[in-house]
Amino acid sequence: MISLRRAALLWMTLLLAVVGAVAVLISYRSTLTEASEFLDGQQRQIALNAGEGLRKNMPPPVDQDREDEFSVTIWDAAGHTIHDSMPDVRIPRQSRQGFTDISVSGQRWRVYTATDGFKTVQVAQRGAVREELARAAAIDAAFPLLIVIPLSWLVVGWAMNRMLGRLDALARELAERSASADKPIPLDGIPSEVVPLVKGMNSLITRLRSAFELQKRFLADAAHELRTPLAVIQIQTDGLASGDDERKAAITDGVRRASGLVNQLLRLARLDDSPPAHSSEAVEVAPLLLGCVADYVEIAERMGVDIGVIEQSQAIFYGSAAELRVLLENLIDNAVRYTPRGGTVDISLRREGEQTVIEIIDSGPGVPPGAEGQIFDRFFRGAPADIEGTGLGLAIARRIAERNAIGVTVANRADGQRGVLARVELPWTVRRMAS
Amino acid sequence: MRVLLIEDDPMIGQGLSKALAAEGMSIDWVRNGADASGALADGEHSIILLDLGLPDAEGFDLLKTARLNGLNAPVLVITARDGLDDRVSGLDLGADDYLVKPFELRELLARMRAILRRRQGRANSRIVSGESELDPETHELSHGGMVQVLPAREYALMHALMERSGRILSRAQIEERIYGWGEEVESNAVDVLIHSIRRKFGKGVILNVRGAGWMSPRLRS
Repeated sequence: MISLRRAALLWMTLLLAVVGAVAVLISYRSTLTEASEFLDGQQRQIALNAGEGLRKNMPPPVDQDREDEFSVTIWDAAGHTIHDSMPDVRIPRQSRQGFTDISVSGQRWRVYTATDGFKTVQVAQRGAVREELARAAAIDAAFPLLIVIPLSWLVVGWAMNRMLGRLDALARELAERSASADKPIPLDGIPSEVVPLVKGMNSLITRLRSAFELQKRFLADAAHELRTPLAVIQIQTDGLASGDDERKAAITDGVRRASGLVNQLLRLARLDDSPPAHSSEAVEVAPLLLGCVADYVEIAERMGVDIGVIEQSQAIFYGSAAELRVLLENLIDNAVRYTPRGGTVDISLRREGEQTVIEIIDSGPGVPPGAEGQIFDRFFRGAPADIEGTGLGLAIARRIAERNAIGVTVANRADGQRGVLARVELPWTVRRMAS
Repeated sequence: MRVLLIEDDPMIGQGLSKALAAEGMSIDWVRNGADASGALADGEHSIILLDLGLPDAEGFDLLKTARLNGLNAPVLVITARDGLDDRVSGLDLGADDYLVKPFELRELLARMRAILRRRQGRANSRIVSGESELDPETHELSHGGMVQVLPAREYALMHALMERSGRILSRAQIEERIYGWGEEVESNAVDVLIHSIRRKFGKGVILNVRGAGWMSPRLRS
């Protein structure tokens, strides 16, 4: 991801660094020139005014840097040395008058030579002195920038935070929006550079909304078109003169199955198309679970299956109550359907750490070997053909689980007995929506 | 009994007309919103069967207008739509019940009978659920062809269960409903009452849900 803040800081730092480098260079060059002119002048003055000097070379003051010293040498017409301020450095006498740059035992010297025919005076200074001055000036020039660069980080960072803070407010507004809200995002208080982005989002919201409306309309029409012919068959069958009641019952059964399939298909289509409910409601799990169980008590009774609740506790779920109900009903429906006459379905609700766990355990044939990975697939049926089912129950359960941050596993029992253990894990805290 | 059937699908309309006529009712069948408005305004029908998806009108709008114009007859909405929203708004607008297609004829007849019974005010006293019928005036319970007057506690228990038929009541919920404040309750009192009722009417009168409680069946088996 690109960080505007980091990019701004990087460019700012680069700019200041370049400015600093140029300042250092200019300062170095100009100091070098100025110092050279000044020192050249001094060298010339010394040479023109130098007398015999003191008889004895006096020790220099303590704070005098030996490196900075001038070397003054005077020769008479015969070429004898009359005075030498630095006997330990032998600077050869230059034949040419004026300034010369020479090298003596590895050090560069700037030498001024003047002669009046009787005496020759030569004043020399180490070349390093000038460079040192220039270097010091360059460092002085660089120093403020070393303070300015970190300071600029603080200032730019603060300013960026202030500006991006307005975007944070926008992000919060977006995160808190309900998925079904169709009002455009208001543009006031948004930095003008970001307005095109928000406008783009608004246009996307409008297009999504109309596509969603179209889909909803389609599902309503599909429901009507699929159910009406089934109603025709059922009503016409009921109107047949009594007689072949067994066949009439078979047709009724077929209509019931087709109608169940239509219901499940519509449910799945609706789950696929509608955005998940954004705002979660607080749902008391125990009464909802008991309501689902109640819906299957009579069916279980008729099928000779003993359905029971072996553990109950208080729990709150944050999500869609209607969808949790469908999920639990589908799991209980499977358990009751797959359990043979005389079998049991045990349901429990308890808290495990930070989550609420619902388990539905049946004594049916279990998941066939090798089918564990497929049971959540649409239209996959792990059942023998004589057990009625649409093959959509677990697919629906999984979609609901995905939409509500619920964990669902369906597997063979781990206690060594035959049957399926369906486990539902509900997050115990308020669900944080991914923004 | 005159029944107004508002249904646009010819095969459903014709099938229902015949089937209801066979039950001894006289049927007026209209197939669009315009005819339906006129027939509803007549106010001559004992019950109205209303399909929501008409070609030229929205069933809910018809119902709303008719109720505003003083329609008093009970309305049973028949629809191929589903979803909780439709159901709630249907009942809010003055429908008496709601049936999703496809349905069996006996289910339709049962719903019609229930609505009419409720309308005649009998439902205020008699509680009906599944195969059981309880009369609060005489404390008579009829179930599976048997009729018996229940003792006070058994009646109170049956009343509590049938009032919320199809839902599970726990032991605590039942005790709370049939015993007064501060009354001493034996730990097995509820079991004794249920055992006694089941001995008279058979096991199907009260269903036991292991670990959760008891319920009165809502559906006819």
